[in-house]
Amino acid sequence: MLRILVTDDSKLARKRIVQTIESFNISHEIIGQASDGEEALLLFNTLKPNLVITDIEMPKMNGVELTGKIREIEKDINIIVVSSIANAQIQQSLKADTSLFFIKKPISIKLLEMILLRVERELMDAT
Amino acid sequence: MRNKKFISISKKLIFALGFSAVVALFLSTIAIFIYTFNAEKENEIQSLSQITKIMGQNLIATIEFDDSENANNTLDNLKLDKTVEDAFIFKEDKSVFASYRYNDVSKKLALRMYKKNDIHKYSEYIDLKHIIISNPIVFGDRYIATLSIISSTNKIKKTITEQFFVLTMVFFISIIIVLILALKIQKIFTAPIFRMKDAMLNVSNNNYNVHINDTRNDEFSILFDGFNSMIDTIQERTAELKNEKANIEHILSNILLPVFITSIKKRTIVYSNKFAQKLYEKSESDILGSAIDDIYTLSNGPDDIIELINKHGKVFVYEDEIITNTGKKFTGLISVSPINYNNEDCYIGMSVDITKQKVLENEIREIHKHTRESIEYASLIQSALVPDNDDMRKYFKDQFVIWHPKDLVGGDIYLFEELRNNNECLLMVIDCTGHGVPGAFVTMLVKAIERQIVAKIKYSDEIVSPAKILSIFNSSMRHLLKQENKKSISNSGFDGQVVYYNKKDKILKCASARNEIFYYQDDELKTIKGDRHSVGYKDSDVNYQFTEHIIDVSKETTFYVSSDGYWDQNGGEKGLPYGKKRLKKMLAEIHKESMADQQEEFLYTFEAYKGNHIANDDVTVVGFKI
Repeated sequence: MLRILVTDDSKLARKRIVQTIESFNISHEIIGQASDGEEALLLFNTLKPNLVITDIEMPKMNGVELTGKIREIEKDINIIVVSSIANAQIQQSLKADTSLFFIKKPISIKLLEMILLRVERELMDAT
Repeated sequence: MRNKKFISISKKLIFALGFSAVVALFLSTIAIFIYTFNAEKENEIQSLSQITKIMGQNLIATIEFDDSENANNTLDNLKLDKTVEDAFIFKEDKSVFASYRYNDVSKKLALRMYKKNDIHKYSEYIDLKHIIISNPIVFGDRYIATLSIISSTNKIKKTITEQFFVLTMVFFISIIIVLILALKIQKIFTAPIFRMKDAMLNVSNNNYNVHINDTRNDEFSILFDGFNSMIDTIQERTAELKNEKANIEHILSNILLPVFITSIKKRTIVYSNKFAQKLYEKSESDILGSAIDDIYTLSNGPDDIIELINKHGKVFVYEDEIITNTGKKFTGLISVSPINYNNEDCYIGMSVDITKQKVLENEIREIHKHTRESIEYASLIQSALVPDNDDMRKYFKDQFVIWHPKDLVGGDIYLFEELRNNNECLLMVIDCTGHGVPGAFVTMLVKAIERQIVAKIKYSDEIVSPAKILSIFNSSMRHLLKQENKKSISNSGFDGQVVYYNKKDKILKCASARNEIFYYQDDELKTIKGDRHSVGYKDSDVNYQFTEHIIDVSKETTFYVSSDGYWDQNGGEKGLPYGKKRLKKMLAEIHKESMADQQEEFLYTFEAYKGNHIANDDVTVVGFKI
C-alpha cells in the first residue's frame, strides 16, 4: 500500500492531488499533508511515508532542498516533484535521481496514475 | 461419376404404376376367385343339406316300418340332381338300410366320416372330389337313422373354371388399360421433371440463359419459380463477379507497386505485375506457379509475418530486409491482404523498397536527435535566466510564478533583480517575438540588455524609471538586431511589463508595452493598460516615451503581471480565446486566496479551458502581494 505524504504551499493544490489519487484504483493512504518543506521534513521523519509528493516553490524550504534532505535520510524513497515553472536546470539536476519523478503543473492525471502504479509495483516487488 | 445404370424416371413410373396395378388386379382376382369358390361351395352344401333334411323327414315312416325298398325308391329321386353320386341310410350300427347307387367307394367315404364325427349328429365333409352331408333322422327325440348324401364337386369346379377364365380375361384387359393409362399419367409428372432436367443440363453446360415458363398450379410451379429465381441470381452474381474481376484487373494494372497474388490453397503465385517482375528480376512465366520463397526470403524469417496473418488475417506495413533469389537485398515494407481473385481465395501482397527512405530516416533521426539535444541544452541555458523565487520572497509578502514555454524553450521570460540596498527590485515579464528557439534567442538578448540596465542602476543613484527602462530596451534591441534600418530582414522585439518596487519607500512604478497589469486593492480590480507600442521592432519609434504609472501600495495590493499567452489561449466549447473578461472574473473570485492557491487556480482553470486544444503560446504569469 502506498503511504503518501503530500507537500504543497497551496491548500487547494493538496486537496486536488489527494482527490485525484483517491480516484485511482490504487491501494493507498494519505498519511500527511504539509504546506512547506520544513513541515514536510518533520512529517517525513515521524510518519515514514513510502512516497512523497512535493511542490518545488514553497516558503521556508523549497522542494529541491526538501528532496535533498529526504535523500540524506532515505536514499531510495520515491519522490514526485511538481512545479509550475518549467525550469530545465532544476529538472536536469533531479534527473540523475532514478527514484524521482518530475511533473509539470497542472498535474496530468494519467501521468500521475502511471507513476503511482509504477511505484506500487516497485514496492510490491521489493516485498 | 455414376456407377449405376441410368433408368429414366418415366420408365420407373410406368413400371411402378403398372406393377401396382398388376398386383392390385392379381390380388383382386384371387380374392374374387376364392370368394366365388367359397360361395359356390356354400351353395352346394346348403342345397345338399336341404335335400338331406327334407328327404330325411320323408324317410321317417319308411325307416320306422323298416321298408328298405321304399327307402331305396325314395333315394332314387336323387338322380334329379346330377351332381349327387350316391346316398346311404345308415342305421345306428352303421349298417346300410338303403342306398341310392351303393358304390363301395362312396360307402367307405361316408363311413370314414363317422370315424371323426358322431353318427347321431349333422356333419359335413368336403374334399376336392366330394361333398358329403350327413343328417340324422329323428322321430320325435329318438334317433332312428342317418342319411348321408355324397355329391361330386364337378358343379363347383365348372363354375370356378368359368369364373377363372372370365377373371383372367378381365385381368389382362385391365393390365393393358392400366399400362396405357400409366403411359399417359406418368407424363403429367415426368414432363415437368424432364423440363427441369433439360434446364439443369443447360446450367451445367454454363448456359444460364434459360428459364422455365410454366403456368402450373402445383408444387412444380414452386420448383420452377425457385429455379428461375436461382438462375436470375446466378446471372446477377456472374455479372457482378465479372465486374469485380474487371475492376480488380483494372486496379492491379494501375498499382505502381510490386504486387503478387498468391493462392491460399495452392500456396503459389497466381499473379504478378511488371513492377514485381522488375524488382525481383524474374519474368512473369518464372514467377507464376512459384512459391513466394522461390522469389524472395525475409531476413527475420517468415514466422512473424505468418503469425500476423494468422492472428489478424492481414499484414499492414511489415518492415524487414528482403533477400531476392537473385541475390539482391533491400529493406522492404510489406502489406498483405486477403482477396478473391479468379474465384479463388488468395492473398495480395505489395512490397516497396524503402532502403533509401530508411537511410534518410536514420539521417533525419540523427538530425532530430542533435536538434533535440541542442534545444534541451538551450532550455538549460534559458532556465539559467529564470530568477530564484526566494529572492522575490524578500520583497513580496506572497507570490506565485507560472512560467510555461510552449516548447522546450520559449519567447517568454520573467526577470527579477535586486537593485540597491536590499530595498529596490525590478520585475519584468517579457514576451519576445514568437516562441520556441527564435523567441528564446530574443530572450537572451533581452537578458543581456537587462544586465546592462541593472548594472548601470546599481552603480548609480539614478531614480529607477520603468518607462525609461523600456525605452532603453527599445533602442538597444533595434540597434543590436540592426533593425534601425527598415530594410533589415529581422524584425524582433517584445511586449512586456516592467515593475519597480521600493519596499522601504513603498513605491511601485510600472510601465508596459502592450500588455495590461492587473491589481487588486481594497477589493477592487484596477487595470493599467499597456502603451500601444511594442519594444525593439523595426516599426518601433526609437524616441517613444512609454507611460510610467505610479501606484500607491501603502495598502495591501495584489498584482498580476502576465504575458498574453494566458488570455489568448483557445479552448472551451467554441475554441475561442480565454479572454481578459474571463480572467477578470476569475481574479474577482480568487484574489483573496493565498498566492499558492491562486496559482493552483490559474493553472487548473487554464488547463480545463484549454482541454484538447494545443497550447497557443508561451504562458507567463507572476502574481505578488505587497
